[in-house]
Amino acid sequence: MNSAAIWILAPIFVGGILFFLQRFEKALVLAGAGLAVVLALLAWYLPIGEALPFLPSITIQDTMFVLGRQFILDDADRPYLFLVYLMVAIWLGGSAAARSGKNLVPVGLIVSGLLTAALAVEPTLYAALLIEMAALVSIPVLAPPGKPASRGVLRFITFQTLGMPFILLSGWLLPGVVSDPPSQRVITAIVMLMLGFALLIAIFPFHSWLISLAGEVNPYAAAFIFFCLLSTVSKFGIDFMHHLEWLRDYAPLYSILRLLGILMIFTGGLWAAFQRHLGRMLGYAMLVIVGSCLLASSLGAPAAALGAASSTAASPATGLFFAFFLPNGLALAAWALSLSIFKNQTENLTYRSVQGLAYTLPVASAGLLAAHFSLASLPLLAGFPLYSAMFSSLSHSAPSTVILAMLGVGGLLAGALRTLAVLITSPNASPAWSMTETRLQVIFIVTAIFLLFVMGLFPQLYIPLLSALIP
Amino acid sequence: MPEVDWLPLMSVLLVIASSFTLLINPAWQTSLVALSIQYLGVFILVSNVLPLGIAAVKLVAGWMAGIVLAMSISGLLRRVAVPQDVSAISRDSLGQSDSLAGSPGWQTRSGRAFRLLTGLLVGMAGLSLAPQLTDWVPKLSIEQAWGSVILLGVGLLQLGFTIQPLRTILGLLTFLAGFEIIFATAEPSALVAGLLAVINLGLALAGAYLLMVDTLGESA
Repeated sequence: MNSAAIWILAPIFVGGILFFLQRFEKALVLAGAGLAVVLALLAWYLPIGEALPFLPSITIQDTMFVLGRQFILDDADRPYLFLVYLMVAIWLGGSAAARSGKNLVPVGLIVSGLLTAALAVEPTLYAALLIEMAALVSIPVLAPPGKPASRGVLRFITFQTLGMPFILLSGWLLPGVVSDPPSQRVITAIVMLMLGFALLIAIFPFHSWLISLAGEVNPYAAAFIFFCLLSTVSKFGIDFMHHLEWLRDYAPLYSILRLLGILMIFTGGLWAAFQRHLGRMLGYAMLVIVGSCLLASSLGAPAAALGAASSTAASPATGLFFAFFLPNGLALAAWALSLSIFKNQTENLTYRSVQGLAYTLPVASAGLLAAHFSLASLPLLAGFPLYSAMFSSLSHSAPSTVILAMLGVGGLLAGALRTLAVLITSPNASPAWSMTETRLQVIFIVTAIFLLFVMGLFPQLYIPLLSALIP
Repeated sequence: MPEVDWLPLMSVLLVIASSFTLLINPAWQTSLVALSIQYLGVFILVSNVLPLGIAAVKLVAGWMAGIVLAMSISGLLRRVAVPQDVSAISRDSLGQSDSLAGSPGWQTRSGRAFRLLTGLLVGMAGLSLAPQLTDWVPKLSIEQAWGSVILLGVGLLQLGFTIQPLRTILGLLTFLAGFEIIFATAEPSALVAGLLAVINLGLALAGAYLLMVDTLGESA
């Protein structure tokens, strides 16, 4: 038995089969989410490269060979696999409540398999090709049948396809060992790598596709695909940096990451503060998430990169980067689910259209606001402990930049307050309360709100697990 | 007098002519023929560095991408024509419409002249940059560098000029074709060639889907 067969081939294969069973919608969601839960549990319990505790004759091999290339998922990858498939299970489970189309479950499984393959493949430059394939597979979810293709989808394909060559070329250009100072070839490779990442995960100034996508297509599908891409590309980037010792100790890289992170948090938050479309507001929140990922990864500079004596150990702040995964993913899912419920009931997601919706969709409104406030780092919610840890760490390494980052988060908070005001201001003089969400929608949103509070109040429950993902 | 190898030069001319046709001509039939000629040029350029079988994969994948797009457009025209019993003239007008041609202004004479001029500017800039590319990728010949930078530049220009699915996909295929010439020289691997062929086909399928998506059945 092979780890790649379990966590790469199985979801792709099952996703392929489920494409042809779209008539049975409930069974489809159950099968897809069920498989993702099983894969998460297998990642939690099954050791890789050792005999199974209950079946000593069987060992799960960590390497699969395909046409001379290797797909390696070893024991160190298990926490990440657990987290990824847990999040996929939550998203796919919620797809029935979001009514995001029948394609989401099969496509979600295939995309998860392809993105896991991107992290496992050696040499790593092949990852860019697999990420591009995942982006292409996700098109049916972003452009559902019966509606014209939106500009956001075309921009999405364009940016994903333009990003791939940069990563392929940088993988080819980058040498394993570099003498100091780095040559022009190395600088070129790093610039190409950063351009590739910027195009793939909507880093400034290549972020327009994300805002377009969030504003035009089903918010749940857009947020799911974006979250999958962001987590994979971020993990790929962190692994890439740790794989090349010289790159890990290259101090200017961390300065650039920090600058981009702060720029994205600041501009994303600022735009969110003045936004009047809830879909686009989600897009700006996603920009802030990307910015916080970049900022957290810049705080993981090892001592050598900071000018200390040679050290290869990553700083504890690297754990912060991974700690963002779960609360951000959960808040994004709750936000996107609530927006999908809004979208099923209103013409569009402008402030004018959603005015007073809290009276007819109180649970969805609460879910949207809880998620928004969590991403805006409101105390008691899941985002707060992580943002405060990040700002605290940043205040030691770059104190002048903390203000800009805090202003950005403040902008997101202002956007949340404006949304709250719009949702509770009904055009009618005496609005009547009613709850029009389905039972399934209520269950998902209430659970998400509960978890956001639990993660905010007891961060010690999950942060050690996520910090274990440090390469 | 040194002996001149005419085949790579001819293939560069093929690539220039076909990519400029894609940039200027609004008719989808002509564009798809130009796309197939473009892949013929790419095939000749990469056959110097790749085994003939692997180079042929690029040609076949490119042609298949063109066929996929052609079939989807003809299917789209049939779908529109048959149920509503519209005349051949209406079908022709759909074939020339913005959704297949590019964007408003794509078909006007001034629009074509503008695209030709910008294409020439980008082409000249690309040709002057090509020698530097051969410094970065030492095995890259000057003809390959010319072909690749022209395709990269014209592909990006096409992407900048349109918001329509067909033209966007044609622009992406053109851009990727340019990249494939460079990367075939840098990394002459069968697996990379195969995966890039899959991506070319995937792009064509995505384009075909996006062209027809509004005529397909309603989603849940």
